[in-house]
Amino acid sequence: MFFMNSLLFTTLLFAGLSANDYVGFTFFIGYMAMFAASVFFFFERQQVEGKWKTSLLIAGLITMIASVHYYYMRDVWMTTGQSPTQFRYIDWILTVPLMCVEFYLILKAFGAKIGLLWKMIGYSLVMLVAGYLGETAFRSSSVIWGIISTVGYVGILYEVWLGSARKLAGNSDDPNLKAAFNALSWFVLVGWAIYPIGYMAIETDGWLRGVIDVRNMDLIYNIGDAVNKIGFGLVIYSLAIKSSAKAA
Amino acid sequence: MTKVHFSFIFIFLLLLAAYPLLGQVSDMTQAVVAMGIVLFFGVPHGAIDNILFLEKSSMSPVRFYAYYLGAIVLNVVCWLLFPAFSLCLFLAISSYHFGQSQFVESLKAPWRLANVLYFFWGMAVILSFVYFNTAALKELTLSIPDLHAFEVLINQAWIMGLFVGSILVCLALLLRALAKGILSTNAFAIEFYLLALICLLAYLTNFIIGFTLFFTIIHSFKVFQSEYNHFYPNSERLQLVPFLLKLLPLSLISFVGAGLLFGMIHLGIAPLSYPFAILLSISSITLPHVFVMERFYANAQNIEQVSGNA
Repeated sequence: MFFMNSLLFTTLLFAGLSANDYVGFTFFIGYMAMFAASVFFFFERQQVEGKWKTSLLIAGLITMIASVHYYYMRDVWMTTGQSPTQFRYIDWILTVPLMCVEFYLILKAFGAKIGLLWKMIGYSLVMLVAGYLGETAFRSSSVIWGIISTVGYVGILYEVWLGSARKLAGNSDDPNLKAAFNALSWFVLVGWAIYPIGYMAIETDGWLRGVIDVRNMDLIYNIGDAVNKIGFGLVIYSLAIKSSAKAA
Repeated sequence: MTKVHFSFIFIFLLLLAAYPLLGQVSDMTQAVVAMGIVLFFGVPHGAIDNILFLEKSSMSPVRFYAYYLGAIVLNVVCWLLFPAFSLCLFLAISSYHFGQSQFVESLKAPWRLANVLYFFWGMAVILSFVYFNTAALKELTLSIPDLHAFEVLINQAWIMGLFVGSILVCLALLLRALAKGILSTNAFAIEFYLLALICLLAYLTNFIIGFTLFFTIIHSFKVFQSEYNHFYPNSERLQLVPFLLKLLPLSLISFVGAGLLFGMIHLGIAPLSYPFAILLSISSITLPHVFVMERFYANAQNIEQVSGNA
């Protein structure tokens, strides 16, 4: 059975991945890059001070979950040539709230309340669930779902740029935390912006569909996902290493 | 990031998400609503010029109003005699004013190239809306007789050259300011991001919607914020009502004036088109406002320097 599966998989690879299939390339690269990042974060967890271990575990889980989904997405792409929308959303529904947890974890030492965590998770779920419904089940009213999804995204933006999370980071006396928080805020502002843009480029009724090709959106998602998730984890890792070195 | 920047990003994203719904609204309705928003927020941000100027000046109010109205009359005469030249002058002055309001509070020290940055940033912004809507603007100038004079200005190659040139000069100046420590890394990144967003807005939306969003939030709200902070620098409670009362008298006079002008056009007394009259009105209140704000920002910077030295 295992042999048959391996054979089928190898056949799929050679049959499906043509030299100019850049989207297919990025599915492979995304899968391997996130898998490697997970291994890195899990192993490096031993090097940091106790209070940072959970943060690094979450960073590793984010890339691990994404890597598993990219494994499946890659197969969908290879066999059908279609955008693997369902798998993308399953991945995001798991990983985006975890990224919000990271904000809470790094601010916890500076007085972050559990309310901040739930608020961030709530915003991220509004963003993703509304996005999924608009992109799949309720395509005829995708604009309304897009607006609801955007409100969720802006809620996260508000928290990290002007809200309580920003105030906590600003009040801390740790320059490393401030720099890391700032970097994470930029990931949310610039890196995450590709997702609402992608939503507006959906095939039948997205109004950006004439501006951005859906195939190119997969390329942008794949690169964006890898940069956002691995980059997010690396910022946390860098903060943890600096903070641990300072404590030692 | 300031609340003004955030509001712009928020409304930009909402607008993008809701844009297909706007497609169901006629161009005329969009234009009327957009002009209403521009006038409603644009006029009041210049409606305390008298207070801002007279509080730090020995000039008598009568003399101030005489100069202010004189500048408006001169501008109207200039527009009627030399419309193309007046439009260019108006765009150049507006460019400087937009840039000044954008950067005057984020530059950390006096800089001899600050005025150049103001001008080119504003020019890049205005030209982004013009460049991405050249065909529509050309059509507009051809379809309305008193806009024919502007047709000569709408040259695709020239506009593209000026747009790309102003963007490049603006970016070079921002990098220079960053290298000299006049602009913080975060402020640089936010300005870069905003400029990219404004260009994207100009590219994705039509002229009316894009420019209205930029003008109302990025410019007018920013100036409102500076003016508010000037009057209530240490107030913990929001002093919205007293602030709005300061804006009210000249805003009302301006609205009545604009209403009279449009009424005269409607009745056929003033032989102007609505677009020309809108340009004329906006440029007439912009010209003296820019000079007052130049003085206001210079005074504010002097106060900051004095308090900084102390």
